[in-house]
Amino acid sequence: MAERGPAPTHTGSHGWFGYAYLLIFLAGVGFFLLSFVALGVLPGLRLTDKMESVRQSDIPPYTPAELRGRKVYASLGCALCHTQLVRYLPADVQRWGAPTAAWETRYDYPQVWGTRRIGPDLARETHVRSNDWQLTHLYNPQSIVPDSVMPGFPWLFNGGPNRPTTGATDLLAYLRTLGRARANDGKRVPDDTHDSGMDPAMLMQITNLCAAPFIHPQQARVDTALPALDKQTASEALHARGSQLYAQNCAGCHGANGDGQSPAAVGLTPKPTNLRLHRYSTVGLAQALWNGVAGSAMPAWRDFPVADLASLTAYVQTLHAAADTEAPTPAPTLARGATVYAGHCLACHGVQGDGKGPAALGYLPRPANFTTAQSDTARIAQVLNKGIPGTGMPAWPNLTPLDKQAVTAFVRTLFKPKTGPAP
Amino acid sequence: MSNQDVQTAHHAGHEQGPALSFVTSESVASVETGLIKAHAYAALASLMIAALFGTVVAIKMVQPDFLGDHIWSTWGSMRANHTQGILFGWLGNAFLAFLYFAVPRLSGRPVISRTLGWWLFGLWNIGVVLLGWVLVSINMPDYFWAIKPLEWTEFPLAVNLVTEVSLGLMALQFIPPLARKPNPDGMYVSSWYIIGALVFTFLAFPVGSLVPQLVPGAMGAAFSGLWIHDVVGLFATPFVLAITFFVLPIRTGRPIYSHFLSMIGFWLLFFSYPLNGTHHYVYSSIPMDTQRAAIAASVIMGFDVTLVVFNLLMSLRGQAARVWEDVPLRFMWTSIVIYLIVSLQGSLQALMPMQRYIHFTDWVIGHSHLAMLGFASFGALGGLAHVWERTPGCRYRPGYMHLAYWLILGGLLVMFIDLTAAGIAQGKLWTSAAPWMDSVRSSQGYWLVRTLAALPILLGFAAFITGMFSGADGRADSRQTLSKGRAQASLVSGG
Repeated sequence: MAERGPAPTHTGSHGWFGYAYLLIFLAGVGFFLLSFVALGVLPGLRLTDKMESVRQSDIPPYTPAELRGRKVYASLGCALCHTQLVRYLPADVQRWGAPTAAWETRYDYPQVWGTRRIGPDLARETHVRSNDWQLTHLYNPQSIVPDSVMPGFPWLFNGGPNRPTTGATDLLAYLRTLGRARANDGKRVPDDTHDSGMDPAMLMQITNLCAAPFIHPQQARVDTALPALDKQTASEALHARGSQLYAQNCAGCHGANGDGQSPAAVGLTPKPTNLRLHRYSTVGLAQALWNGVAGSAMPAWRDFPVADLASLTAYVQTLHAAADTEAPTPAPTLARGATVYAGHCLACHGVQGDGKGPAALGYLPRPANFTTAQSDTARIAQVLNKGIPGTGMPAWPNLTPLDKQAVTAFVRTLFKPKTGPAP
Repeated sequence: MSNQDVQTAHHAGHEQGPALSFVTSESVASVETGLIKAHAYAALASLMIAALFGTVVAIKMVQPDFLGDHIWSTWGSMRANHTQGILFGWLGNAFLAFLYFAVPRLSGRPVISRTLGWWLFGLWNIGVVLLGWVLVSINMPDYFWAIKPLEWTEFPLAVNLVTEVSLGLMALQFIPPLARKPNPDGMYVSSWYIIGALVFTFLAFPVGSLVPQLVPGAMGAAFSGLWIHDVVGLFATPFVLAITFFVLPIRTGRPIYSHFLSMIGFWLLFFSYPLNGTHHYVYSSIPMDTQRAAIAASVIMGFDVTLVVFNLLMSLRGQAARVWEDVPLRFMWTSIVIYLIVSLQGSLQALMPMQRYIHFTDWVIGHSHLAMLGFASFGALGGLAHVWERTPGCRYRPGYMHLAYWLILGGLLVMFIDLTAAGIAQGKLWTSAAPWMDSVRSSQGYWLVRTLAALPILLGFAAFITGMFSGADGRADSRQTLSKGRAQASLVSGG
């Protein structure tokens, strides 16, 4: 039998009023309107209420620079690989923080939720990384995250990560807004899930996760809580794992051999530490890895398994180039050094040299802790002569060479290689 | 009708302008052969270019520095050019070529205007495809000219405006001949799908492209979600089904298995597909009952597709040998089978337990390639081959087409399996405590395989195009194939 439409009597004689018009008005127009109203307009009305439930003062509109940055974000295709949508799922909330509420998106024309996550979600990016980290990463992502597949955007810069155009600074301004309202809000509980009809057990899990303050595991913070990273027994496997982790995560900034010479270093202030010039205690490295170095581009690595951080610690300790032991310094020199230290260094670096002097709170990054890291003599001399740009450490041109030598020797005696982990 | 008559009728249909009615085989309307060819050329050129854009995107995920120094070749622009090029350049032109071929045959009258046709051709290819690619490459920041961060409508608003005008002209060109007075025997299934798709897409396109610019954030996303599904479900799908319902009975010489199932399939498609949209934002702040409704509709869609595919495959029962040797039928059969797979996969992955793990992963990229390359492009390629064989001055060489089939299918299957596995691996890592970069590192092997899979696909497209342009002296071959089909004769005797 041949394929037939409705019987000719239905259509043949009706001309303009045949079956075709049923298709046009029901299939084409009717079902379109049904979907438009059911899945667009109706939820939209409810979302309007939610979006306007938050006071405008709690979520400031974008500034002109932020808006320009948002356009850069949209046109470079950032949203194709980065979502801005923390879903109402424990796994998402655990990783990124509170779920993305409708009211957070009230100024987003058009929305940039995204549908694919190749890079991390950016909904909570606001304070996670430092500005120079962001710019250097935009200039050349692999320079800072060696295994990244993100494209670089060198045309947003005038030849280097430290010379951004307004396009780059606008984009940075926009990135700083992501999750800002939520961070300022303090309301951790996802208040807008009550009518969601979600699985109560899962909702409870999410609410519990949100009850504790969320700090992104890569966000540097000033904190003293540390895991114990004492190496178990030094082994080849441990060293190999540490070396691999170093290459994957640290070499971008600190250089393949740890000397701090890297393409990323150009854009970062303060510069990445030259790991070859310092002897670190396990606590010192635990502090840097677990909490990052707030005020610098050094992120935290709290998302790493503690065993990996221990391997990394053991590996970084082997990067120190000079011998760990040397001839003792004469007592008179040390005494002179102590005097110089008390006069010039103590206010910031503290009586014990632990970086907790009375003035320390005024500085980010915090003053160096001499008990957990021992710098080589030459490195200290360099710092005394030039200071450390990007930190509170100035140069000390008025100290005599002898004073410098003495205080250098004194500072090195403050190091306590065997201290256990902080409580 | 005698064999001799059929032969004469074919000549009338192919060489001298007028088409034969699809239903009665009478010579009833003239066909715009020039427009068929122009759209087919544009489709094939766009296919190649858009596939190359896609290949660059794939290479960049393995080698981020590749073509990385310029804004015109940045990853985001290349991806926008890939997806929009496939949608508008390749599928859009292929569908238009098919419409110019099929609408006069289905309706018994010519399309509205040849002049309109050439305007539409120019607008579509210069004002949409070319302008879109150029504006994406220039990457202007201004609202009207800027790339949009919205899936399936990345081209700037300026291009969207031309697109909407073109969609309106398409409706004007093709709906009146079909709608005004059907053939004495009534309207054929393909006509339903063509009318539905033309009207629906004209209305749905602004919803995806313009509304999210006017309503913010989560509200806009609800509308984006509609378009993300409508573009596949109510643009690509109905046109491919129109091709399938048209080509199958012609080439097998046998009618569609069940008219009742055709009707159920059609109405359920147009009812349930548009309600799928929100399944792209499951577990978002869009009201949960809206999400659940969309998920329910997605499941209904799976049932619907099962009915449609059952109907189509039953129409091919006992025809294995013919499907195997006949180029268009083989492409169409593959399209039908993949339609079933990709739709059942779609229903499955819309379910909340699946969404938890596979949303945002490469699983979805595998799914979209199975839909747009496996289902839509195989259907369009088969349809184009059928059109080519019956358009004056156009013949294909079957050898190249068979080669193309295996290359494209092989590449697609490698890519699909690879990306699906990648998605599972990514989802597993994301729900663990592993650092983010672990998921990137573990994906790199999969991304390399996916890039390598581009090679057979590109070669397959090249073989197809070569086949399309090297058939001049293979004319006798394709006539032979044609007379084997003798579809219209059977249809007439049956109807």
